[in-house]
Amino acid sequence: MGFLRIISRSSKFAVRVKKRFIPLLLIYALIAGFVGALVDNLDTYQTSDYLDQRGVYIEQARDFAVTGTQGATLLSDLNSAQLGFSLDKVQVFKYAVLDSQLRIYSFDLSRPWLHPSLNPDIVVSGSFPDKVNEALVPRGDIQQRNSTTGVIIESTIAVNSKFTFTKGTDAVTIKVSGIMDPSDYAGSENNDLWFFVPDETFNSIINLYGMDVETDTFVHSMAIPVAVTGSGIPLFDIPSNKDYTNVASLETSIQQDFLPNSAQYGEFNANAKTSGLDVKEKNRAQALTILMLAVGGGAVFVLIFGGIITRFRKREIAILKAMGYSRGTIQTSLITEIFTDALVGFLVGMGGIQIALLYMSNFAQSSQFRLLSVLISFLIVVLISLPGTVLVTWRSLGVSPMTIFRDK
Amino acid sequence: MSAEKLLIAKNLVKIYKRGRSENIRAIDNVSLEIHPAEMVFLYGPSGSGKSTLLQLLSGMDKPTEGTIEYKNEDITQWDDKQLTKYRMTEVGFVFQSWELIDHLTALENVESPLYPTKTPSGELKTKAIQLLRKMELLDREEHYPKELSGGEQQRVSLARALIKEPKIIFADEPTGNLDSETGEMIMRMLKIVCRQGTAVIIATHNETLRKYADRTIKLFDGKMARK
Repeated sequence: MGFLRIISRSSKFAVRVKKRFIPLLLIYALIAGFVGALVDNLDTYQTSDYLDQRGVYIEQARDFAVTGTQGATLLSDLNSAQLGFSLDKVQVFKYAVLDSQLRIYSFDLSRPWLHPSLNPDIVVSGSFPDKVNEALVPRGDIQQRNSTTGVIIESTIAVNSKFTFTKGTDAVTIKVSGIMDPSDYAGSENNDLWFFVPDETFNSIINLYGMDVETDTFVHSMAIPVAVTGSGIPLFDIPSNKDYTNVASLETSIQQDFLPNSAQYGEFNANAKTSGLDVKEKNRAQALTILMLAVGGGAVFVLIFGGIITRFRKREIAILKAMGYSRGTIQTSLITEIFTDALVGFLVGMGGIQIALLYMSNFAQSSQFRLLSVLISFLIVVLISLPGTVLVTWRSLGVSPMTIFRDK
Repeated sequence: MSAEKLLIAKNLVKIYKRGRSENIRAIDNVSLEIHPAEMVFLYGPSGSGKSTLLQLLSGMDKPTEGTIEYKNEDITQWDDKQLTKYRMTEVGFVFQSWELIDHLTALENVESPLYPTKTPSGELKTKAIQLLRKMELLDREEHYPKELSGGEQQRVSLARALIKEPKIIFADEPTGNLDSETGEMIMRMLKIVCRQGTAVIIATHNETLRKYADRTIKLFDGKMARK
């Protein structure tokens, strides 16, 4: 009862003293915003470069160079190949030409970043599809037709536009959830209508058109990631040197054992694409160094400011001791106050940075902090604030109640 | 005056070091007894050792020599935890400068000594409001210390000391910063508290308050001059 009351009262009183609360809130907001942006950047980096970090990507040599059937054969042979290490989920990206100006491309909704053209940063407005019947279109695509009447309507596709593919009584409706930057996708041209849709929708439209998913489609590319045995947490799931060796072996195997068999697998580009690992490692090291500096700098800042504030509260601590508050009770009270300040500052800082990022990116979904980034940032801010507070307050609690008499 | 002895101090000595070699005997061989429901005045000029003696008796400091018996235990031998409990449950303190916590309202200041205890919040608030009513401060319960007059702050300070229902109240120059009329009012309230069974020990240099005392102890240069 007493302990809980100390916590509830202290958190209430923490926000009451404005001259203490506002500076602390600003400090924590700055630290939280800075740390949050860095952590999220690390996470984005890990996610968007997923394939570069741990796999090989191969691409058709030119339009229509790899049929769906050839892609299925390659997928099957890759999965059964004796490579000496495991492959992660191998992803095949298909496309289909519905007419001369209408194409659809597939991607896996559960792991969209495996697609070589897709990552969180390319969405310039709207959001990345997260539902089956949502689509992403390159910026500049022009709506050409109404599928039921054939009437041509020329207007740039907007987010939330709806398209209905119909045949008889069957229909598939898709909604444009976001517009992507076409510079990442060289094949995009104005006056063509290209949709990037989840696999399920891709298959539905193919079926609606009476086409066969394997024989009437083509393979745009394939992502062949090496399985990494890590923690499963994106920020910390860094591929090991062994993983990198396996990626190199995979590339060699694909170049030697698979790509030359073009009659069987179709014509892929001669060279499989892997990342410049040295560059990635250097970038990661730099990002981690900056993060550590942010954490260290934040901790020092909090310690200094916490020390100053606690020093100014000597009289209050002395009064509490004179009233019979134990050292532990006073420390609980001070830590609760600091934690409250840190929590509010964290929310303000993360919220402020988030709003700024969203505003600057025209509210693109790619600018949203991931929940994991927010949680990790919060842990970091707590790690900065609590041990520092314990250290600072523990020293200050040595103040004697007689301080009140001496001051008098 | 009750025959029962609440607090027995024997041969108290408190020596402070000044510089490297100079020793100041702030309290020099003081012995006294405090009884329940007794109002004792410690008189003396500034620097006579009144406040130091209050600190020793209230467990805020330890004597260099001597013993202080409370309920048959020598509190000078207690550790910090025991002294904290003594200050929490047995004694209350009223300071000359009131020493209210600035960011707490009058009601919260009164409640604050019992925040760490198991007293239910409802009961705590009821007790605090009753005390504020006794102090004629009920209309000021939501006011912060800086919004209260000196007399009002001192009454809040007294209510804060009383909420623990202590056996002894120590008051250090409780009327020192007040006008004479308000000072008299505070003394009347302390007298009422004393009549209800609480021992009240007041350090003061104001001889005009002597009429309230059951007993006076005069200190000069740390020594007891007269009982």
